This record gives sequence, C-alpha cells and structure tokens, in this order.
Amino acid sequence: MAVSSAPGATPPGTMTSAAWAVAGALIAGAILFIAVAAKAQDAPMAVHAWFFVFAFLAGVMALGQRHFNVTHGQVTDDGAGYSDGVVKAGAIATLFWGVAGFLVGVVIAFQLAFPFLNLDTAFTNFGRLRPLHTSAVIFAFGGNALIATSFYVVQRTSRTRLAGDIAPWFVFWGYQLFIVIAATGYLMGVTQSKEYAEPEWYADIWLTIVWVVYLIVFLATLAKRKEPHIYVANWFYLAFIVTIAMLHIGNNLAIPETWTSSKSYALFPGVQDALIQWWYGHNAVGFFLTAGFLGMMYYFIPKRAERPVYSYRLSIVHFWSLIFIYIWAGPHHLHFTALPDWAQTLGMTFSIMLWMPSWGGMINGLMTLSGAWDKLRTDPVIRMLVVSVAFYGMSTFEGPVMSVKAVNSLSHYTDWTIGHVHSGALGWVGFISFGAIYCMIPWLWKRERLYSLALVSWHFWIATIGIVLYITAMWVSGILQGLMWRAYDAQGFLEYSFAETVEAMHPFYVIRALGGVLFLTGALIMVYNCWMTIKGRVRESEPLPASAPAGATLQPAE
Amino acid sequence: MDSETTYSLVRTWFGTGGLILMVVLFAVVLAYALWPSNKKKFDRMAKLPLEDKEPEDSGKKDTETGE
Repeated sequence: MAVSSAPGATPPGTMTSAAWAVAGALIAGAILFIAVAAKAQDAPMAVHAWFFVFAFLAGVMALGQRHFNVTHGQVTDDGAGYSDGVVKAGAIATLFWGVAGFLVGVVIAFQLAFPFLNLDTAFTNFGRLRPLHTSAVIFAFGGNALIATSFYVVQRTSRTRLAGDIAPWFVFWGYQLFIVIAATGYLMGVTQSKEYAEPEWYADIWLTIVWVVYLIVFLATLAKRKEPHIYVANWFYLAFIVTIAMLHIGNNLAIPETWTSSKSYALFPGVQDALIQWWYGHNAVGFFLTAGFLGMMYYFIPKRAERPVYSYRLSIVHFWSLIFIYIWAGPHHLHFTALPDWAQTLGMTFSIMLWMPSWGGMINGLMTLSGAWDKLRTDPVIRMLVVSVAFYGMSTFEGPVMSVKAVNSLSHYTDWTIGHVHSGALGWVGFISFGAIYCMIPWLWKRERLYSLALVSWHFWIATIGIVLYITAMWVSGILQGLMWRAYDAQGFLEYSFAETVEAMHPFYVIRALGGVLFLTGALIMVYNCWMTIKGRVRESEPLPASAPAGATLQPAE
Repeated sequence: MDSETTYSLVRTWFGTGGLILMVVLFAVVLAYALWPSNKKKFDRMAKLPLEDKEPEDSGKKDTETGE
C-alpha cells in the first residue's frame, strides 16, 4: 500500500514491495480457502471457499496486469491528479447494485401479494429473498454510493490524492466480494438470523478486514490533507466508517461450529443478544443510512447549488449532537419485551431527542439553497437532492413518533414500520445517492453535462410517485393491521383471526408493488442516462448551449 | 454485595455520569462552534466545496476558479 504522494514517485500499478506483500497475502489466503473447501462441513461453505479462492487469485492477476500495463507504457493515471478510477468503479457498482436490489424488492413485494410467486423452491422463497433485498439496497447500493462519494469528497476537500495505491482498490473489490458472499449465502440458506447482520462469521471476518483498510485509507488521506480544518462532510463519513466498524464487530461476535462450517452461534444469550442486535440495527440506520449520507449532503448540495453551506456552525452542532444521541436509540425496537423497562424508556427518550439534530441538519441542507431556489425549477438534479432532504425531515419526524411506547404498541410488527423505513430509504438515501451520482458522473468522466436533463426529470417524477404510492399504502395497511390485531368483541375475544388481517392487506400489497415498479423504472432510466453520459453522448433534442446552431434558441418576437 | 445492589449502583452512577458527561460535551461543542475567533475559519470552510482545485501534492498548477 505505497502512498504515492510525491510527484515523480513510482507510477500507480508498479509492483512495489508492498504490492508483493499483498500478492503474497492473497496467495496465502487462496491456499487457506482451498483447505477449507477440501474439508468443508456443508455445501455452502465449499461453494464460498471456492469463491474466495477465485477472487484472491483474480486479485493476484489484476496486480500483475497493472504492473505490465505500467512497464509497457499504457499508463492512464500518472499518480499526480486525484485518484478517480476507484470512484468511477464505485459509481458504476452503485448503479448496478441499485437496480439489482430494487428488482429483488419488486419481486418480494409481488410475492407478498401473490404467494404463488415463491415458486415452491427454497432458493426463491420470501424468507431468503428478503435479506437479499435489504442487503442489496443497504450495503451494496448504499455502501458503494458511500465508498465512492467518500473517496471523491475526501480528496477534493482535503486537496490531496487518495492515500495508497492498491488499498482503495482492495476496499472496492473486497467489498464487492463480501456482497457476493452474503447474497449467495442467503439464497443457500446461510444466515445468522440477525436483521441487517445476516452474513455468517467468515463473511463478517472478511468485511472486518476490508473495513479496517477503508478506515486506514480514509484516515491516511485526511492525515496528509492540505487544508488545516477537516471539512464537515468528512466528519460525517468518518463517523460512519468508525461506528460501522464498532457495530459490525460487536454484533457479530459468534463462535463458529468448526472453522470449516458455515454455521456459528452468537456469543451473547437471550435479551442481551437482542439488545446488541438492535444497538447494531438502529445504528446501521443512524450511521450507515444517516451519517454517511449526510456527508454526501454537505458536499453535493453546496457544490451543485453553487452556494456555501448555510451555517457551518450549525453543521458542527448537528454532527456532534447527532452522533452522541443516535447511539442510544436502539432499545426502541424492543418495547414491551424482556428488555428492562428503563432501557426501553431510554431508547424512546433518545429517539425523541433526535428530532433536534435531525431537523437542524435538514434545515441546514435546505437553507443552503438560499439565493439559488430558482435552480429547483431549472435543475432536476438539485430537485432530487432537495426532495431527498425533505424526505429525510419527514422520516426523522415519523421515526421518533413511532418510538413512543403508546404509538409503538400500535405500529410495531405492522407494515407501518416498512412504510417508515422506505420513506427514509427510497426518499432520503435513494434520492441523495441518485443526486450525487448524477453530479459525479459528468465530473468524473469530464463531460460538460449529463446526456439528458429531461430524463433526470422523468426519473424524479416516476420515482417520487412510486415512493408516495409505497408509503401511503403501507400507512393504511399498517394502521389497519394494528387496529385489527387489537380489536376485541363484546366477550373479550379477539375479533379477527390472523389470516383475516392478512387478507385485508392484499390491495395495499398490490399498490406497494406497483410503487416499487415505478421506483425501479426510474432507476433504469437513470442507468441509461448515465451510460450515455459516460459514452460522451448528448441528447439531440437538448443540445449544449455552445453547440446549438446560431439563432436556434431565439424565439421570434411576438 | 448482591447482584441487585450492584445493578442499581451501576445504573445510578452510569445514569448520572452519562447525563453530566453529555451536558458538558454539548457545552464544549457549542463553545467551539460559537467561539468568535473560529468564525473566519468556518466561513471559509462553508465555501470549500465550491472551490475547484487540483490536489496540492500533484505539482500541477492550481486551476482555481475563484469565488
């Protein structure tokens, strides 16, 4: 992991001693996994061991290829400018996993409405596809968006090249390998049954290695920054990286059956395990889906709007209060359970307190448009970014309401929770990522503009209608479900059987699935638009101002 | 000391200690954010994303667009 900071140093891709060490470690890893494959206790472990072997050997070959490219003079990156190759790869991976994750979401939404779509095989049933969907959208789509934008932003705001030559690429490919191992594991039934932490022990160890390298790359880049102060977006990204490392290790402490088995047992028993799980689970929301994407907000909104951050002071207060409060909110997932009552109340109280930093941050993001509100009309990318912040405000208002015990007794275990999650995930995380990618793609590939802004507008409206259909359907369905569950007749018996409540939800499940189809359609439009931009095309009906034929833009006087 | 007493002792101390720690930390953050001599730095940082500069370690000339 040579830090090629000085101009004239060895060009990126050269086999330095560090590169040889990486190649050696990859070969050693491959040999280890051949042994695991040979002695594997179960078929999934054998399959995954071979995945690791092939991935490690491909890594060795990639190192060699890079070296020969350099020695044969095919250098595309002189090591002097910003390191954008890995950012480009991350942007493409974000689009790919986004479409994959949304597609699986649509499939499982239809499965709930029409159960025959489970297809009567273990591989395609809802129970296995559901974690595939959540991991694909959160970790694959969201994670790649965060890694790519964090690498982009930390370089620009520190005015220094990304630290390391192989390390950032190791983070990128190592993370994709984790995603593939996790996703294929779910389909084969490999899971530790913890929400958002389903991957088994060996995938967890691999992610830990990748994540620590990510942290080192980020810190080393910050350490050689040319700005005296660390820009606020980097604080949010750093909080995301550090906290996810802590949460991931804490919640995945487990003892494998044997070193060649895909099954492990959690270290903590009973309610302690539940508490650790939701300390992890809610902070996956707080630090993965919030802090990281706020880092995105604090760079891409000012940049795109060409306005300074509304209040940098507020951003500091926003940051520290958000991270100190979020970490305590987890117990609100365990109301009315075996968790001590005071701990439940603590979780609820901290969730309510989160209103302040959340809305402070939202106001800071929105007010950054002061003096540039007209751009909402002319720039659909800004519209996407601003609406994402509005969804952030809405879902962070709804969340604390739902954490109040009295509300939770109605909302918990119902579709209301699913609706809430998706207003945050589709509206906030989805739209801020789309906006950031729409910004970055022309900047990275040095294009004057996206292929088409009209297509961005189409994406925006189709996806927005999709989200609205989704969340309103789930509000109605969730509250209906909650009320039916708690309805008693005159004799004190439950008024509805469980099957009756399921039947009542059917129309809303169909509406939700249609909302998902719209959201997926928007993402496909985005992929087309980005693909054409990367190819260097400009839509003929929307020419660049300079290339427009003279007089074409002038309208005859009325 | 039985476990019941240990439990309530730990709970009380952590509860009170946590409260004090959080209030003090919040006060420190507010003081840092509002400290008058930091204003110049923060005003500059608020505009940082708008600058388009080459990395300073590149040896290339800055292509600063200015404000």
